[in-house]
Amino acid sequence: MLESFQFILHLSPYPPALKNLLNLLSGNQQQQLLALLISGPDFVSLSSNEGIITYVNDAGRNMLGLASLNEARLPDHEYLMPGEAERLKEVISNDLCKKGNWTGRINYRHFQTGEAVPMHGTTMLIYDEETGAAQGWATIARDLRSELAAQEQQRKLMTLAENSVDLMSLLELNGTNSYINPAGRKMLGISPEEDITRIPISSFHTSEQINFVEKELLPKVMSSGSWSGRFAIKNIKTGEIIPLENNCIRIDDPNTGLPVGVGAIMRDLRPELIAQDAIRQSELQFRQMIMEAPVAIALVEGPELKIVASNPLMLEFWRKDKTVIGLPFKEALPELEDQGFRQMIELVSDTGETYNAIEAPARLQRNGVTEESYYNFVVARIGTLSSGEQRVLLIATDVSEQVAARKTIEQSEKRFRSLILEAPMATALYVGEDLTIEVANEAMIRLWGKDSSVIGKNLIDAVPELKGQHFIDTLKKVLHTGEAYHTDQEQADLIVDGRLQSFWFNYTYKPLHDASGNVYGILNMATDVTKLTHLQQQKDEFIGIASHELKTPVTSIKAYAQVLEAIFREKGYEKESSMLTRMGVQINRLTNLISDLLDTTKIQAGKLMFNERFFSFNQIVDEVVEDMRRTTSKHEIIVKLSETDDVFADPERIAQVLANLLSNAIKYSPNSDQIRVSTSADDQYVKVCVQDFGVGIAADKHEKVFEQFYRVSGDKQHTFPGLGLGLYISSEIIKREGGRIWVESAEGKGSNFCFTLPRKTKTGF
Amino acid sequence: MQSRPTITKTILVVDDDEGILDATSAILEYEGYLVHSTLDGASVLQLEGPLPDLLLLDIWMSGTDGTDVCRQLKSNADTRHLPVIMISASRDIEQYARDAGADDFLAKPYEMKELLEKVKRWL
Repeated sequence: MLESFQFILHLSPYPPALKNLLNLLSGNQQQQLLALLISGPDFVSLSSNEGIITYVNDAGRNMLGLASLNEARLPDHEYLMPGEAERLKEVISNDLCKKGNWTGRINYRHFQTGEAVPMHGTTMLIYDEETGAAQGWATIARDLRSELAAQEQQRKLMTLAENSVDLMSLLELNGTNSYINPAGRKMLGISPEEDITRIPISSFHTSEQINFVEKELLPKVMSSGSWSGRFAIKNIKTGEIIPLENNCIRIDDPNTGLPVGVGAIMRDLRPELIAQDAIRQSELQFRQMIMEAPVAIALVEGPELKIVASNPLMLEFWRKDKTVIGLPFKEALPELEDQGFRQMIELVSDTGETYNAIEAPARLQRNGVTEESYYNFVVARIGTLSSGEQRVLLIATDVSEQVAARKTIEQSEKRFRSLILEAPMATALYVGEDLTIEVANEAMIRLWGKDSSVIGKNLIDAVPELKGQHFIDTLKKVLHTGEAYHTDQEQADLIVDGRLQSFWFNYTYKPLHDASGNVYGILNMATDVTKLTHLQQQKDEFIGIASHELKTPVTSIKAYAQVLEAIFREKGYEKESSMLTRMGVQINRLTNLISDLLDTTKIQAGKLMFNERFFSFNQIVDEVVEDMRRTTSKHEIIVKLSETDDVFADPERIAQVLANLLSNAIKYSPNSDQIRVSTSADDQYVKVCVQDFGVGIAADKHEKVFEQFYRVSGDKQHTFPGLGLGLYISSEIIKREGGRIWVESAEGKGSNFCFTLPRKTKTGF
Repeated sequence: MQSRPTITKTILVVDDDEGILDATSAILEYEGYLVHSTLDGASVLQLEGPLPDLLLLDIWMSGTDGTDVCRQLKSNADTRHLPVIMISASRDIEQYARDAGADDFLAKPYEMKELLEKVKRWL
């Protein structure tokens, strides 16, 4: 093998310098140089003109996975990656022909793995020393794999730096940056095209910061090799100060060990700070929320239930101050020891089961005085500390007022109930839309003719005979309108003692309102006036019969008197005839009294009859005035009539009312001499007024004068006769005819009595 | 009275009260009418001989309802033309009387003048 190399060296004219050198060398030295080539670290091969590899040294075979020299004798293209032989032929042949050698990249193939083995090699022709003709060629190549791998490593590192979100920079000892990665450029506001070596590092910092960099940071890095800490840079475009976590290291020359620069990796802290800020903010808000919450909140933890936090409201509930914070529950609130609260909180802490309480009483102490309050509260375990201890949240609201209010209501309800039950008057309470009998006392149950089983039933189910009578509807109306209803002597048919009987009651339906003003029920109070009503009916019947019976003799007396008067007058007995005229006036008074009594009994019995027809309102007024003029010589009746339509009513009854008003006007104005009568009409009503200038009526009596048996009392000089029925009958007539009657008056100033009647057109009616 | 009837007209007065019957007759006789009177309402339906010219008939009589009498008179062709003025102490029942066929109505106690006007109107 050595011979063949000698052969190479001898036969190859190139490099002549080498050949010459070899020649200069001693045999021993030649041996050494050959040994270097044969057993050196580089790939050495020899090829024949035919392109067959004839020799590969140990290192070369090792690189390509060839076991022996015998195996190495193969055509050269077998040594190469597919396609590589063709490529080399093109690039090599030219150089070889012209210069006799070629240098460049050769991609060999590993025989075992098939992997590419890249090498940097030189190929040179070998000439026959004798003939000078090319005998073949030799190749010496260096394995590039580790070199390429290192390059790849570097490229990857660079990619890492280029794509890192952190700022990466290299600072040269001359104080300029030789490298800043894109993330860093972006943070600093440097465009990719800008030459960073021209930007002084002072531009990247505030003046204090650059001072710190020069005085502390760099000396520290230089002396100790690194520095880490909070740092800040300034964006040169926007001026924004960006907080960073900076890690600097001193970079030393691997050969000399002397520092050549400073490398820095800086992490942008802004997102972190924003997040931290948000957390802090929300913590703050949470804390504030708890402190200001309208509910009392406290936090206890550990087996001792140490109070770690409490808002002012909870302290207020406890009647404590801030000093209890940090104390175990037991020490902070010893007065609660025998009330089970601590034990309950412990249970929640141990089991994790939330505890809810409604209106739980708690006795707490303020200045040594025990106060009882009521609370709704929740006790919940909200987490386990890293120490393994439990944390429990207490939330409470003071409901003492509500409880007190409810107790008061319950109390008053109880009183109300016993008031009803013990009332001597028949009383019942109906509740809700279906009128459930909530309460009914003995008297009411007796009145209904039922037993206590009616309580809790609907009124209509309890007293079914009310169906078809108006009571249920009236009750519902009271329920809906909230307006009380009262009536006297009203008939109700009830099944008592097994048969339907008529009863008469004075009763009230009084709506009851809840706190928000809604009607929730009705209080019914009733008095049985059946006996009284029967008596009254008997009385009315009696008066009716009596007055009818009285009319009969009066009719005869009146007829006799009138015919006698006519006879006397015919015979010229003026004195006698005028006496009979006066007798006639007295008979008329008696007739009127009887009529009033009769009318009153008819009104009471609801039997007042009306013969309604259309008639001229003004004409009736005229006729009545004309009649009244005949009965008074003292008063002048002044009539002022506006146009009024016909009205539809009983003309006799209307005339009766007018006559009553006029006779009252005459009767109650003994010291004046004028009476005014006027009519008017509007869209809906015709109106007539009768005005006198007599004694008048006090304002508080204006309503009373229309009541039964009410009489205007005169002074000592004047007493006024009458039964006190005239205005009562008049007002009943006007009411029944759909009109209204009233008086405007003042004592001593006279009275103005008016009434209206509804206008009904003949076509419209 | 100023204008006495020239031909004497006959009026039948029916009332169950003697006092009224007498007093009413007194007025009518004073005025120159020929007056017959009876306390028995039902007897009106058994009148014999010539009919009176006018009937004054009380409504509420013991034993007899004046309106029944009136209704029967008015339903009989022989007596239908006989004018009937019904009289009652209750003015409310005027319509009741007219429904029974009464030609006119007078409420007790009446004015003499009113009685004579109504009588004259129907004679």
